[in-house]
Amino acid sequence: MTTQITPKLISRQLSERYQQLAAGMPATAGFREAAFQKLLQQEVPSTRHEEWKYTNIRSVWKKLGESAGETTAAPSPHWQGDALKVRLAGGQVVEPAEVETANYIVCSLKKAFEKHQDKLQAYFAKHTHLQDDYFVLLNNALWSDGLFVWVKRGQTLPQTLAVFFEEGQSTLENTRHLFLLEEGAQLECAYFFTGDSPIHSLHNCITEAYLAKDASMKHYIAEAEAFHHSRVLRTFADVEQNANYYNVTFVLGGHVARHDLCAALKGTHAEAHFYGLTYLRGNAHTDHHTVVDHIAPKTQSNELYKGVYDGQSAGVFNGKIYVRPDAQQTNAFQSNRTILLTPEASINTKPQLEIWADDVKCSHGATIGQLDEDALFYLRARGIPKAQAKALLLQAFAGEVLDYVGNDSLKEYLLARLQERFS
Amino acid sequence: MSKPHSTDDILQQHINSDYKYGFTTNIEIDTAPKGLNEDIIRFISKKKNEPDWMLEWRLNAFRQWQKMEEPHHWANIQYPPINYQELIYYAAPKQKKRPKSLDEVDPELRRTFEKLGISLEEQKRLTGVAVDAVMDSVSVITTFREKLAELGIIFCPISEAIQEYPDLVRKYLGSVVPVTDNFFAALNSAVFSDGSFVYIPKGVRCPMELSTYFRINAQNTGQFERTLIIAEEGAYVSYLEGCTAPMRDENQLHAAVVELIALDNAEIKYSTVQNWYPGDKDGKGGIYNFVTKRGICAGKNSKISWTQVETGSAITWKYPSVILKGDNSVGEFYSVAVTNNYQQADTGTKMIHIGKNTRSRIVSKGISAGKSQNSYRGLVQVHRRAENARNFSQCDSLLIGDKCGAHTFPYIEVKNNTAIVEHEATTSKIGEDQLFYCQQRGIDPETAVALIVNGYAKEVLKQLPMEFAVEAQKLLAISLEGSVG
Repeated sequence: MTTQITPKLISRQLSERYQQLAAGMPATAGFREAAFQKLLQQEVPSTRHEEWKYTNIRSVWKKLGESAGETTAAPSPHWQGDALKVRLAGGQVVEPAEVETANYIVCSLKKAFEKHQDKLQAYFAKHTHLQDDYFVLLNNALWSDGLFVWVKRGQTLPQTLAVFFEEGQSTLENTRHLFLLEEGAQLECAYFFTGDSPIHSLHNCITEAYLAKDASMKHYIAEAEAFHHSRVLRTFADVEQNANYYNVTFVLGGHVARHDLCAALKGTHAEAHFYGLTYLRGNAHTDHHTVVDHIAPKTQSNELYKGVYDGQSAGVFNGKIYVRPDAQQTNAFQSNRTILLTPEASINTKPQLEIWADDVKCSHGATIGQLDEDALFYLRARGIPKAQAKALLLQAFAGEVLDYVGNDSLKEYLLARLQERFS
Repeated sequence: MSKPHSTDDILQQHINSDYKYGFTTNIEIDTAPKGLNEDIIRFISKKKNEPDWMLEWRLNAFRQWQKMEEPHHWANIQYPPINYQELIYYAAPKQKKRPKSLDEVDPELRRTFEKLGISLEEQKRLTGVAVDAVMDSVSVITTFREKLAELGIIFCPISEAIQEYPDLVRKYLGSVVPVTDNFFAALNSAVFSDGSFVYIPKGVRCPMELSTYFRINAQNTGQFERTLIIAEEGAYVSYLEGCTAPMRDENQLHAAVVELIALDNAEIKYSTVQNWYPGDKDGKGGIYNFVTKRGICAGKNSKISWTQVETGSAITWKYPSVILKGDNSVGEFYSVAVTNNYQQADTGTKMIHIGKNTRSRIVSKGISAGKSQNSYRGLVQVHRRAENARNFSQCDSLLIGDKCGAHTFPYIEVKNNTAIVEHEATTSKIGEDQLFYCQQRGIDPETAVALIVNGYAKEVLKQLPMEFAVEAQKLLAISLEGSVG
């Protein structure tokens, strides 16, 4: 099956899909219509676009629907930890249908538009950084389903929310997720991306999280290796006073994975913590774009992204930090460290600081190098074979990021995935 | 004058203190008509008595330029559109013929350069610095030429080199910055009127600093100079450039191109103290400094080092770069960029690692005050075959006041796994405790800031030749005058 999707024109298929969705969810019809009209004016960004300079999303777009041949890798086991599990397949929430108590709600976004309009109306698609970019418009017009999560003031979601995305059931999936955390609310959530369908597919996933005063959200993202599935994953967090958004992203490789992670720190003492570990091989390509926007004074952010690139894999890191004129006494730190294992691997790094306030402490650092020869020698001199010595050092390198995973069972699971890679 | 008491006083004093080099020289000038077309290019070429190949080269550049679009999107700078037809592309002080000695130079011109602190009188110099003085579109005089010629060194205006050493010029002109490299380089290629040409023969170590002093004087003109420096095998040269312009309400365009070529074991050190008129306190007037500077370490073990102190210009857009093609070659970039009032600077470097064992080092210190915007934009690129490349970059920003901005845009592209690349950047302000410490010891706030800033920029300033380092330190203090508050 080959879907005719050209960069310039939205195919007839997409157009029909859009009409179906608009008819199926009348509450979203106007919103979809506006986005669709804008989408018609735009085309899939090429590498001439600064934000897509190092990631050729157009070539991914052109390949959509093509057969990719047999899948070689055995699928990784799922995480079995104690959690409230949600499964999405083909862009639809498959299970569970709905969990609703006085303290929290977890349901499909489609359902939320019927039942919880009052709660979501003020937030849905309202994030400051949700700009009219191609994939945002595409999602606005064509999102099929997703999650709606609401946690009441002062309450905590009793279990970790584990979201399993099974990708590849259709060529283009658009999912949309909305998290509303009232004052002092807390939740922990983990995304898992799986799927082994043999066609090239793209998952365009947008998550919006609104954290009111004193709220806290821990957000883990784990991507298993999937050779044909590409992903444009966008996460926008709005962080009010004393609230804390915490993200750890763990990427073992997709075909092309683009992660945009953005936090707007809008109240004093708001915090954002981003940690990332990317370990790629083969032809995998991962692009991390992060934005931390310090809007209010005394806000704090911390970023650490590490990468190990094997085979012909390629990595991109673009970390933006904005410190607005009023955001005095801000602390913002960013670090990006990369190891290239083979001569064919490559990395493009662009840390970016834009600062308009003077009483701030901001720094960024980026290093690109290899495993330390001295350390390797030390281990080998003690009778440890080269391969094992290398694995040990890499594990130590990666371990720093894993330590930021607060959930022990999840941490063990991720460590196991990493060790599979080393052996 | 009594010591100012409040912040307002200090600011007021600064506002009233004029840009020191803002005077104009009343001298008869020879200009081309306004506008840009093929006839103007033929006019410039004819004025310069150029051979046909040069005219063709220019016309080709002009045709390419017409097809190009002015870059408006990527740089972090803002300015109203420039009307290229309103500019004058050639203005020269009227001189009957090229002076053979200083006595033949128009006294008014000599006075101008003296006022700028540039002595053209060779015998009076304590240290030997050979100067090429460029006023508007032409070189006024080049000193110490004979002495340098004894060693086989060629130091002359590029317009002369085109006639006297056409083989060298033809071989290297446009080889590092191609005509179509960018919009402003193409414009420069079409209309450049003068600049310096330096050739250091094999194995010669240039015994003195070579220097060019650029002065814009005429109104409504653009200055487009072109500098070409070639260091043959094992040669060494240290080259300095300085620049100033009168205070005018309208913006003037300066679009220069500098090309450096270092062959095997050669070393070129290029230092700039840029002090074009920055505009007044409201951001009116000032020079648009849109410059393309690039060097190529073509030979093995060669080295190119850029040092710049940027204090002037309304807008600075320049990225002195090094292409590290020869094995074991070294590139360096040291920069201090100061912006005050409404100045905008988008500056940095590119280090392109192509050869094996190439090394580069970047030290950039930005200082923003007033309502200015200061950006560092840099690229470190390690190509697939550049084994064992090494780069270290450091870019620090200092903010003085809360109305200014400091930005960093470093691009790092690595395609070889033997490379080691490190980049670090910090942004901070002058510590209250540091200021307090100085004031407690009887140092007034202005001097304290100057002291702290000089300490901050020291790593770069120490790269400058001695005479320039002293000038640059003073310049830093002047540029930041009145910015404490």
